[in-house]
Amino acid sequence: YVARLERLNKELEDFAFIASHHLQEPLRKIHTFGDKLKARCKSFTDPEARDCVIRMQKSADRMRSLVYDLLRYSRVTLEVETFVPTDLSVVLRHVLAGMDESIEQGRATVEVSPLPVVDVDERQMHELFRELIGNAIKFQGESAPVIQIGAEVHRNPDERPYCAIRVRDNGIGFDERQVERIFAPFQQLHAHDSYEGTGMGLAICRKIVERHNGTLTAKSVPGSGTTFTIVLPLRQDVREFIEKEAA
Amino acid sequence: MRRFVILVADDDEDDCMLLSDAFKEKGNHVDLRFVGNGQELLDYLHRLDGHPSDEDAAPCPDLILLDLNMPTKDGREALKEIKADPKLRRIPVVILTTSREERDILLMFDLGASSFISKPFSFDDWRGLVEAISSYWFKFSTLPPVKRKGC
Repeated sequence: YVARLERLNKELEDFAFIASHHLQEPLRKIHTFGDKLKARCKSFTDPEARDCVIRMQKSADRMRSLVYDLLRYSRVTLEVETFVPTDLSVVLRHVLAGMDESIEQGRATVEVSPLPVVDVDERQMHELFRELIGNAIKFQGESAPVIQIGAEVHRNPDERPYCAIRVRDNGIGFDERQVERIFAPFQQLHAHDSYEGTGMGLAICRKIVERHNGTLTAKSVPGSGTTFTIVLPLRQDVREFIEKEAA
Repeated sequence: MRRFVILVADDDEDDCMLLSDAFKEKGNHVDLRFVGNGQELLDYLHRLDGHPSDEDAAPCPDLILLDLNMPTKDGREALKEIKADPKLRRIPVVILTTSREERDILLMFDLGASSFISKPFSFDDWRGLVEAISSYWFKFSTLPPVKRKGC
């Protein structure tokens, strides 16, 4: 039964990947032929015609972003599992270096404490940190964003060693009753016009963490900020822990 | 200046039209030829199946633009055969596809592709692309000499 369920899940993920890949094609054409039409509309006397083409292209762009993020979402579990011991401080340093422009533009300060070495898929950790930091910059409050990232390592004798990484911001926050909505695909707590995005970022984050046998949760107070907690086992090899337990 | 010949292997008529329009806007120094899949591409290159060996009707290409996902024979198989053929392998092949898959990128370079380009999303980018192809391949690069009578 479990094997069948796994196969069906795999098929569903493959389907989402293939469907989203093929959906991008017509959107690319709508945009490109829209460009050509717009160039011709310059000679039209009716300004509404040009406006219609621009609106059509904006919708195609929006749908393209949605499809692209659906592709990213389905890809999380399609990747071959390559968990290797990785210094998350190094990963985070690379992420911050790549985001320096958006951090500067968002007037943000990022305070980082040392992070542990964990068995992870490095590329996905990169994506996870980028999403969470980007999220903190995007949903900033009235004061300049201060993002604090730190971790605690837990090594209790009766459980698998794990770490809890916290990403804390002083942004607009949200009502905690909505907490599950923020992790659901295509869910946004705000109107499209107020914040750009597809509502897939945190859904992708949760899927990445769950693929690492971890959990991603959030605590928030509206107007005061949000804390995301990523709990990850330090080692992915469960046998090692079970053998130690048995001994 | 002689007209360079680009052989485009793509089953998507819209993209062939966009490429053709972009080249037209950027001047007429390129002779574009189109085939609809990997088999037709190889037939063209080998002068088989209905392609006359007349130089004007089917000139030897200076450059091949190759789509990956095509019916009958896809771009991956076609590239493998081109690069395995001593008579054809020096013709530069640029992949022009909708795929952005890492496995496709790696495979195409392993098989000997000269470049990997994702199809543009706006007509401005199509213009930019044909400009870049023209200047890179036909202005700054020195291409292997093309045997004008048969490839």
